[in-house]
Amino acid sequence: MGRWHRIRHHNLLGQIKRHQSVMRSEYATMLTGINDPEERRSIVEMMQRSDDEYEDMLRETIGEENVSSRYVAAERLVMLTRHELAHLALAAHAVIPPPLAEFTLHLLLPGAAGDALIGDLSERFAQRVKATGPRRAKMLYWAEAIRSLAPLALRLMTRAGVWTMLYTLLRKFTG
Amino acid sequence: MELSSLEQRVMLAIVRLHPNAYGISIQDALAIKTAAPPSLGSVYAALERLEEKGFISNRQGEPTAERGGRRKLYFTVTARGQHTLRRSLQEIDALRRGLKWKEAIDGTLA
Repeated sequence: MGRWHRIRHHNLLGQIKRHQSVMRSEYATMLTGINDPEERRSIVEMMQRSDDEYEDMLRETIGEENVSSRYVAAERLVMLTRHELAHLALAAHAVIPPPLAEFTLHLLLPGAAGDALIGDLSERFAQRVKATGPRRAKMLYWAEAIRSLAPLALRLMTRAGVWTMLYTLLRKFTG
Repeated sequence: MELSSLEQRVMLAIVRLHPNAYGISIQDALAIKTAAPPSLGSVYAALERLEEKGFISNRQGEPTAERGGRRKLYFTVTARGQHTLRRSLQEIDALRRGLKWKEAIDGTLA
C-alpha cells in the first residue's frame, strides 16, 4: 500500500473515532429526560439510520478497491457503536436478553452466523417480552440457548478437526 | 454429495420461504411442518454445513434495534444445491414407490 493510501486510511480511522464520540454525546443528550419507551426507540432507530448513511459515505470516499485491515478495523468500530446503541435501546425497556447465554453462543458460533443467531434469539425475545412478560421470555431464551449448545459444540469440533484428530489417535493406539 | 435429513428439510424450507428465509422463519417453517422442531442452533449448524458444501448462499439484511443491532442473514439455494436436493428427493421417492405399508405393519410382508 502506498504512502497516500496509508494517510487516507489513517484519516478514516480518526474520522470514525470522532464520529463515534459525537454520536455518543448526541445520543446521551437526546435521551436525557425521555421516559417514553417508544420515543426512546425511535431516537435509537434514527441514530442507526444516520450511522448507516455515514458508513455508505465512507465506502464511496475510499472506494471498494482500497479495502485493508485498517478499514476492516474501522468498520468494526462502527458495528460496535451500533451494537452499543441497540443494547441501550433494549435497556430503555429495562429488559435485555441474558448476556451469559449470548456470550456462550457467540463463543460456539463466531462471525456473521453467530451474530445472526443471537439477533434471531433477541428478536424472538423482544416479541415474547411483549406477549408473555420478561420472566418467561428470559426462561425461554435460556431454554433455546441450552438446546442449541450441543449442535453448535459438535459443529465447532468438526470445524476444528477434533474428530479427525481423535480418529488418527485411535488408529495409532489400536494399530 | 449426501444430504442429511435435517439438511434436506432446511433446504426445502429455504425454497418455500424464498426470499425471506432466515434463522427464525426457517425454524418456524420446520416447527409447523414437522413433529419435532429442531433448535435454532441445529438450524444454524445445518446452514453452515450447507454453505460450506456450496448448496446455499447468504446475504445480509438490515440491523434493527429489536435484534440488538445485529443483521439478519437471508439464505437462498444455489443452482448446485437445487440439483442435489432434487436428486436426493428423487432417490427417496424411488425407494418409497411400491411399498407395501399395510403388510409391513402387520408383519406379513412376503
